[in-house]
Amino acid sequence: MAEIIVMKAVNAENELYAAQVREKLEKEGVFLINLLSSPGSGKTSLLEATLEEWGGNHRCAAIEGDLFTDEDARRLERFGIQVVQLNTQGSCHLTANMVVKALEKLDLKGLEYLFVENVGNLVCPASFNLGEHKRVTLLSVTEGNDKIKKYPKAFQTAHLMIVSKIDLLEATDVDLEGLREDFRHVNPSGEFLTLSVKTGSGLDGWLEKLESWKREIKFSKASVQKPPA
Amino acid sequence: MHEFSLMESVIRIVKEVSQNSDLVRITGITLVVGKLSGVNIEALRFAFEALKKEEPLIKDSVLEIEEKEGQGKCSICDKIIPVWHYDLLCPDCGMPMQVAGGDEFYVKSIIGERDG
Repeated sequence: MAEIIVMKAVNAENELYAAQVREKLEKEGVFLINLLSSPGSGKTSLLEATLEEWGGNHRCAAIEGDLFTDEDARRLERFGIQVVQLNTQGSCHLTANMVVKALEKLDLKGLEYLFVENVGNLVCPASFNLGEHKRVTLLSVTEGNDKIKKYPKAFQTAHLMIVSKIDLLEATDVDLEGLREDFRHVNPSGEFLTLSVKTGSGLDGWLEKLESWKREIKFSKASVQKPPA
Repeated sequence: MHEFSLMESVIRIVKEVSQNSDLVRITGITLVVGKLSGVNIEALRFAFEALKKEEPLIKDSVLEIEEKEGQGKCSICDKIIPVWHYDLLCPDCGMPMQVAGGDEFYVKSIIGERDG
């Protein structure tokens, strides 16, 4: 009988693939956003609105994660961008090795933004790093006041939380300030935006956020390449 | 229910370490699971019992799980404070805390037998 000390993180393999994703994208200057939310919070609609607003000013691509169907991919292909549909066949989240495989199908040359739309689920995707530069978690006002406390990890690991469908706010009993406060408790350094793709309210803030994030990454790349003084 | 795929990763690690250490039959696997790791222990045990039947190497093994409490460290007053439900505001001064423990999830050790 022998006891072997292992001390190995269970996510080590996923982290390895995530690092591969990051390295490959940074070589081409592509900015990766991982979008999380429940099913139906408006991830695809947000991407449609983003592509519509930018109207080809930025070169984008998307990886769509769903259990089944290619309906989301078809919605985004209308904008003339490259889309890879990943079907997890029942699995509740994307893993970094799935993204590695998806990248093989994309022409990364000249690409600026790559959006990964994770499987609609506020639980499991939170535990899997996909190599993203930024993680964005959406919550629509129709989901109610209590979801940040009930599903904290999806919000705790996000760089930005977006409250979507605020055009429906009056039809709900959602308290936006309460959501902001709950978010501050689980993620004190996270950013918070509210928007509606239907009315366009708040969309500017999201688009500016994407552009400023990408500028920051460029800056950090340039500073890394600078020789030591 | 991502615990199934996490348990598959655990089993891959156990297989790899067993092979490198010439273990042919595993009798015990010890995991450390932090309460802020997003891993449900009941679901993890369920996944283990389901998956071990298909793996001759571990079919007779017992799963031990050591839980770790969540801890936060205040960015201002430097206090280490227990964290539940991911609330990362310091209860004393209201400033942001960093997670200082309880987000880990790793294979700590395995026990097994060598051939002959």
